[in-house]
Amino acid sequence: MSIEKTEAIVLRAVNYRDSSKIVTFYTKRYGKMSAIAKGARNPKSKFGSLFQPLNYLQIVFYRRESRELQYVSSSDFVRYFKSLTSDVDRFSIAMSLIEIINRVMHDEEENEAVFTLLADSLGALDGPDTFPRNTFAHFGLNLAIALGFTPNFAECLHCSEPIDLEKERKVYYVVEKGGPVCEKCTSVLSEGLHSAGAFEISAPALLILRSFTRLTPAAAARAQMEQALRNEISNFVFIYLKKHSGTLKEIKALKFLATSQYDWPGKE
Amino acid sequence: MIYTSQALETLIGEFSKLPGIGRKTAQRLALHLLKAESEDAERLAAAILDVKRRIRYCSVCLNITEKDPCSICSDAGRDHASICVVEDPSDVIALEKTNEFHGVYHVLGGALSPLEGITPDQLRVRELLNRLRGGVTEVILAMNPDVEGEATTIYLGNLLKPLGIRVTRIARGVPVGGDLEFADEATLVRALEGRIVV
Ligand SMILES: [Zn+2]
Ligand SMILES: [Zn+2]
Repeated sequence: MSIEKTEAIVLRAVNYRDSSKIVTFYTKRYGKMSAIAKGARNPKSKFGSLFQPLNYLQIVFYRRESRELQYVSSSDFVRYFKSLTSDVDRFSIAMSLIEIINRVMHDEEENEAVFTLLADSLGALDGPDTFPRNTFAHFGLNLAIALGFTPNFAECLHCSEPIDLEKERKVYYVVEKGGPVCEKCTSVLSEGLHSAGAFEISAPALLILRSFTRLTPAAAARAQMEQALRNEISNFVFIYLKKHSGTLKEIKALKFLATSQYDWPGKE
Repeated sequence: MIYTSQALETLIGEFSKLPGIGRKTAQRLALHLLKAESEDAERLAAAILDVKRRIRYCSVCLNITEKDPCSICSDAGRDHASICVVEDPSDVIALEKTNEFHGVYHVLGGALSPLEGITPDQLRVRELLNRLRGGVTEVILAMNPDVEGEATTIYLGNLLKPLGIRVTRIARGVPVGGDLEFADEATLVRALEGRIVV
C-alpha cells in the first residue's frame, strides 16, 4: 500500500453508510478511480463538503492496486469554479462533460491529455463571455481525438480528393467511417449514402469543427457564431461520440437544458 | 450463511432492503428480535403498520402528516403568502425548530439531479406552481448546499421569477462556530457573495 497524491475532478459522489461517501474521481495520474471518503458527511469533516461533482481538487489517498475502492484521506481545492452553477446552460453543459467522462473512460486508465482537456474545459465554462455550447462541441470533439477516433474533415471518403469547405454548402458526413463525402461523389452515391447513415452538415459547421481541433478550450469557448451553428456543431459531436464511444447512449445532464431557452444536442 | 429457517431468511432479506443496512447488520437485527420478548416484536410490527396506515402527505404542502391539511397549512396564524420550498420533510422539521419562519412550506420530494436523471416532472413542481395562483408574494428556496440543491435553485429561480413573485434563497457560507481560516474556497466565495450590510 502506498500514499499517493494527484489532481482530481469529482465525477460523482454517493452516500455510503451513515457518514461516508463513495466518490468517483477522474484523476490526472490514475484515470478514473473510486474511493471511500470516511466521515465525509459529518458536518465537522474538514474536507467532506469538497467531494461534490465538478470540484477540481488535489487529493491524497491510500492506494492498493488489488483494491477496487481506495481510501481518500485528505483533499484541497486546486481551483474553485464559482460560476458553473450560475445558470442552467453553464451548469448542464458542465455536468454533461463529467457525465461523458464517467461513461466513456474506464477505471484506472491514465490519460493526462483527457484530464487536462476536462480541467481546461471546465475552466473555460467558468469564465465570463463564453458560450457553453461551444465548450460542449470542442470538448466532445477533442475527447474523441484523444481516444483515437480522429474525425476527418479534409478529404472525401470516396474519392480521397480534398474537400473545399469554402466552396461547398452542404456536405454528407458518414459518422461511422468518420469522414465527409464531396459533392461530386454525393450525386453518384445518392441512395447508398442514406443507408450508410450519412449525416447532412453545413460547410460552415465543418469549418468550425475543423478549427476546434486546433483551438484551446478557452479560445473555443469564446468563438462567435450564429446560434444555429452552435446547435449544429454540438449535435454533430454528440452523434459522433455516441457512435464511436459505444458506451454513451444519452446524456442525462443535457435534458436539463430543456429548461433553458435554446435547443440542445440530441433533442428529439 | 443460509439459515435453516425460511422465516428468518425472509426477515433478514427485508432488513437488508433498508437504507444503510448491509447483510451483516440485517442478520444482527434479525437475531436480536429472535431473542427479544414477543411483546417487543409485536410493538415494533405495530409501529411500522401504524406509520403506514396513519401518515400521509398533506394535500397542500406535501409534508407528511396525520391529518389533512397538516397543522402548519391549517394554522391561520401563519403567513400563507410566504412559501418556503424544501427538499424533504426532515428539512421542515429542522426549520421549524428555529421558530424563525412563520410562513408555510412546500416539500418537493427531493432535488433535481442532472446526473441521476431526476427531472422537474418527478418532483412536486407543478403542485408548487398551482399554489402560487392564490396570492403568494414570496418564495424562499431552501435547498441543500450541494450540486443537486444548486441545480434545483437555478431551475426554480428561472421558473418563478417571470411570475412577478419575490424569489429568495437562503444564504450559504461559513458555519456558526466555524473558523474562517479553515473554511474552503467554495464556502468563502459563497459567504462573500451573500454578505449583508451591518
Ligand atoms: Zn469524392
Ligand atoms: Zn401542509
